[in-house]
Amino acid sequence: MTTPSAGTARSWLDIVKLLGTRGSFLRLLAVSALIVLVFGALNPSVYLSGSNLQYIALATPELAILSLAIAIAMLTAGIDLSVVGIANLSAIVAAQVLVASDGSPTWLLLGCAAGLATALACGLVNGVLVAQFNVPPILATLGTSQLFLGLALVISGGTVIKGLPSSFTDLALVTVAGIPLIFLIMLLLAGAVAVLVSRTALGFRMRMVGANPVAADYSGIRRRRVLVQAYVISGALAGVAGLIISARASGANSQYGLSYILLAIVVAVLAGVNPEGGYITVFGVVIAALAMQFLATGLLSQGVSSHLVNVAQGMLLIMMMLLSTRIVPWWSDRRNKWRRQAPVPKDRAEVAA
Amino acid sequence: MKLAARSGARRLPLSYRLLANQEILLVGLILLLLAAIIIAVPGFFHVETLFNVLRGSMVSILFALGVLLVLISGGIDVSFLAIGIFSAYLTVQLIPDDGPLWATILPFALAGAIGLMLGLVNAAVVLGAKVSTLIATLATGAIYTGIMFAYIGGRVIPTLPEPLRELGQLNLFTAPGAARGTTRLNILILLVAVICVLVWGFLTFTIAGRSVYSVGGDPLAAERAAISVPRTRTLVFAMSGALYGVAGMTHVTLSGRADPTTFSGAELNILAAVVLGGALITGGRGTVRGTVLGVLLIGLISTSLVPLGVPSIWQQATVGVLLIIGVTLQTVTASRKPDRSILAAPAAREKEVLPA
Repeated sequence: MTTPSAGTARSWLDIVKLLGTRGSFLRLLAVSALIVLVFGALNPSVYLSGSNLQYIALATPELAILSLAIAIAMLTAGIDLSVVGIANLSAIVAAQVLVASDGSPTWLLLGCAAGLATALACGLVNGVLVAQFNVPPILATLGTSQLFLGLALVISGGTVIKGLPSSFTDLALVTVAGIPLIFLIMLLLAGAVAVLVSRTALGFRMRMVGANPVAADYSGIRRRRVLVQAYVISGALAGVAGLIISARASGANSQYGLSYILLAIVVAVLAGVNPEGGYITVFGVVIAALAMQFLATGLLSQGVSSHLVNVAQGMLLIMMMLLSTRIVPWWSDRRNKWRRQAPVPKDRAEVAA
Repeated sequence: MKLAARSGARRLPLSYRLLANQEILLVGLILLLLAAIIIAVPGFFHVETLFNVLRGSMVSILFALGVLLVLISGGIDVSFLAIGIFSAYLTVQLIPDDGPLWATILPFALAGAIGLMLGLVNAAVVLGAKVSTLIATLATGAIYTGIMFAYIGGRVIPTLPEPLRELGQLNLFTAPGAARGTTRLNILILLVAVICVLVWGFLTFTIAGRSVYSVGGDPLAAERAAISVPRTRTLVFAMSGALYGVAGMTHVTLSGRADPTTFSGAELNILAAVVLGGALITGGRGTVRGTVLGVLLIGLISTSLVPLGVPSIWQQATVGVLLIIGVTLQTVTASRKPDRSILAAPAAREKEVLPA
């Protein structure tokens, strides 16, 4: 592709590549579009109204950012169960600073900085446990999740910290051209993560470490350092999510968002992030988080009980999994047979799965 | 696993072997805690404390045993609380309101059966969709909870049917309380003890039980040894489902009410107890003894922090620190263990067996 006229073609190809050429992404797009179309057709006046879209734009960012945090850990073949712990602890530290302040912009920045510093420290703890002591990520973050939530409980005294300055809580209400500011922050972060993963040396190393740690070791990649950096970035994202949650709830509490742990994993997997490591799709995560919200509001607009929303989200996950692990391979197998190609041999992973 | 421990070619320093043995660590920690309490608060250690810890741990032990089975087989289960409360809540709604005391066998059997069914659903999702157990049980747990609230009801049932009420009041021991009143230990502790022995027997003496270890240790090797991996996994999910059902029923009986919102979000605590007990999250290792010790330790921490002068609000953070130390020790000592060497001289292996 080095012909002079290839400039436009290449940029077009780049866009396709950026979106992820994997089938899982296209399937996700199709399913998301289907959700919007079906519920939009059933109840257009409510479902496609500005206020509903506004609600979705307000509710999605915290989930999407937490999912991104988990997705980065998954990229390095790990997982981060402590994201909600980090989010709550950061929010509570920030709230302690903000409540004591007069709400001036300087204090606002200081409070958010304190929260983010806490998040970075938490991420560092995770990273050191996983990289330095070789603790399996799921165990290390299970332990730190208890620790962070426990510390959040102690600092907050087990109550909701109220009385945050309005300059902070207004962040959740500000809109830019009709789009909530926090939604724009989410897009900005997603873009930053996308650039980091696809365009920087660190992102490349993360992908390599996740895809094949042994090969990465032999290629001179300092695996421990890369892992620590990944968990610190994951922690920072969780911290931002915590600040958004407390701005929306106009308070900070150690009990907020506990159900997000599971939902964020679901979103990351639904997006097509490979829990085995080595593959991430940032736009997929954002779209999957939006799809979850569209599904939830769609069911609610049909008068379905909110409990069945969880059922639908669980079913959606299982369906997508079935599609990618059974139906699509079966289909491509059949196609291969028509083309007289040998079927893919069973490998070790097949048995282990 | 005994064999692996004995066949090391080198003699390890005693300190490592002690640190690597999670159960000895746990017993040490428990004794340390007890000693601290006895020294700090002379009047605190009383039969009442023991009963409190046991009463608080009964339900957790049953849940933890089910989680242990899944962990040994190389999976992770996070749907256990959903299964437990779903089974118990549905059972309370189904059984007749009165009957003789011996009829309480019925609700426990029914809850176990419902749990078993839900466990089979878990197995079907794991094997059918070929997904990791964590993701599958995340989805099924959400589905069970949602179905319970949407179709079975979300109200608290304040009074249980007659036989269950009686069972909840039936005590094995009663002793005068340390400060006032009487302290009691419910008869259901016998059920918990019997189930512990049964699970231990299953894991130790039956072919199926040994298969669970081998499937968790290395599925491919198990497959080569003519063990059916899917069948073993299905059995594990079914058994653990039944255990969760009985655990849920035990909780309902002891608390005297059926509240569908109990346990929400306590999954990680039970997982933490099992992991503290020495079960490997990667599968292939774990014991009933260690699991029971892990649950008891966490129970002891939660009852003893306050008399030791630590505000109870610190409990979660304390358990977190303990868990981090536990898993770090687990991995650090595991990486120090020499690999099993087939070529080690028999003499060296003989020496290894001798007590230090």
